[in-house]
Amino acid sequence: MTGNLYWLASYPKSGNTWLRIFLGQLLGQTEAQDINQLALSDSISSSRYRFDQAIGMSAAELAQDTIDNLRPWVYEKWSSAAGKLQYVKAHDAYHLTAAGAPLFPAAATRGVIHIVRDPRDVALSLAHHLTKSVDDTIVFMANPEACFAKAEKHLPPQLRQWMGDWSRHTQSWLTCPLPRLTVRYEDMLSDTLNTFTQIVQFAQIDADRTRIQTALEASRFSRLQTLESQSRFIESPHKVERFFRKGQAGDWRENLTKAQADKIVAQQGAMMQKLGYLPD
Amino acid sequence: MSNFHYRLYGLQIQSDRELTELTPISPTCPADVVIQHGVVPVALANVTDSSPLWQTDGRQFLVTIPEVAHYHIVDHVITVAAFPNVPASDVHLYLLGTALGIVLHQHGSLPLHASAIEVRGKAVAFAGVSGEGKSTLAAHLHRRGYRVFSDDIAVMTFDEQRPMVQPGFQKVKLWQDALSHVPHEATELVRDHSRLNKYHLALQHSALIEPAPLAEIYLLTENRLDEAVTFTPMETIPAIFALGENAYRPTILKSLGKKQAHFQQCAQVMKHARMFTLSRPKVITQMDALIDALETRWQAWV
Repeated sequence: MTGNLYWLASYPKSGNTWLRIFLGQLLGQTEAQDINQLALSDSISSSRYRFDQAIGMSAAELAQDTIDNLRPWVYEKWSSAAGKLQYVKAHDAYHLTAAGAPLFPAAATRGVIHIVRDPRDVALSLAHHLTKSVDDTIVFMANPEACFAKAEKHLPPQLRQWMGDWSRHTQSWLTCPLPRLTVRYEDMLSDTLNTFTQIVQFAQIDADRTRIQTALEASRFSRLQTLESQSRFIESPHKVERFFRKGQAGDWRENLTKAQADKIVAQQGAMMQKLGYLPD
Repeated sequence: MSNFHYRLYGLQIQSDRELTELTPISPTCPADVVIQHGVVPVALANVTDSSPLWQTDGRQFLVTIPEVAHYHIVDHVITVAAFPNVPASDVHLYLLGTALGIVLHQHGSLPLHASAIEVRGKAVAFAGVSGEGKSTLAAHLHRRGYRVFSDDIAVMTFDEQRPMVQPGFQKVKLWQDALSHVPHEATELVRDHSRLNKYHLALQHSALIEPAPLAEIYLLTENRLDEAVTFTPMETIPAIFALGENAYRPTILKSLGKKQAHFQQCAQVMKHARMFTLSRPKVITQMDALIDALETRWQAWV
């Protein structure tokens, strides 16, 4: 693959922002003390602003499927204009557009860094993010039609992102025909240096152990929480006080009811098993 | 075959089909823009810039909106070739938006991505990226009795170097959330073709609005902390750059090689108008407080 874009692909609330902040720190922005200056800038695939700039028209005036059909072209242009590797967040499932082309085209792609997280922890974090009940969030995660930024009643700054249900989303990236590294959020937490070193190598970033450790230190969760308490994180949804909430693995054991945890396993069990989230 | 005549954004328009969005006039001089329905080229020969929705050779433009229409623009003539069975209102959305916007750029007018209203015989414009509330604010101000020059695209011409805002057509495009806070009659609404919960709200005026000198521009930004409305005056140089970035269809402007001329026009505007950033709370129900704050400012005009 010779494109310049690495897709940082994940279902929402699975560590994507943490990874973008780490990469932002690793690739330069180490002096920043503002929560909004830490992450890689201009690195969101669903940015409506970027789409409008590239297409020369306003997404607000285009049908949703038309926008999807145009997105692969935007990414190819982004890749060819970039001149260097870019690391770009994607919450969409890997899928074909209505016109039948891959949303994330091979020609724009260098690779995929795919993060997965135990859906029981995702449910808690996502409920907080969406200001929904946990039960409603579990329904959302099992909905094959689920999207972010559907633009149903107002115009959000992001383009519509079709994710589908958690298992299908995960499967879509596990089977995408692109060079891919899949990492577990739980391993990013428990085996931090090794997991991030693996990511750095796959991402073709030339950085030694010391630099990786420095970037990890600057993007550690407690620091992000402190900085977020000093100024609001712009990627945080409107009604949400804190974006960087807990950042733990296994929080579901304390905070999901047995019925809720069982429901997630019933709905997502096969994929959870595959990723090692269930006992054999 | 008889033609229809209109005035829009300071241009006299001649069209071979009726444009029901506009008020007919008697032509007083040759048309600045001719709109005709007919055959358009499949592609241009020497393309210098393009996106999947348009291509240009530097002089001609070919715009294609999937499942709506093709628009060929050359020397102030817009030729429209609509897809079969597409409602005229859908075809006109891009005809009177992007296609006419290209003519305006070519014509030397200054089209900004903004809404504009009339305050005491002068014009006040609201700029900002899509979704920041330009249309919502215009709709609320209309309900307070202000006349609206235009929504989404505010066009300036220069009268002895003084920027004059030209009247557009009297409707605003609103999403359902915003519409729910604007008093309206169902008969004033038309549904948007591309988005399910977006509506076009017709605005009634007691009299035709005349061009007016631009007095103020507000650059809308959302205040995510929901703090009070704040107005911050902008220094001239940053204001010129901010205006430059708020051109209507800036990517197309660039492809026309008009960026430098546009920048000079923005500098000209800032000799006569004041510009402010307007940071507002996201919550739409606080619109009354915002308009009260604006009115207090306008009452202090000398």
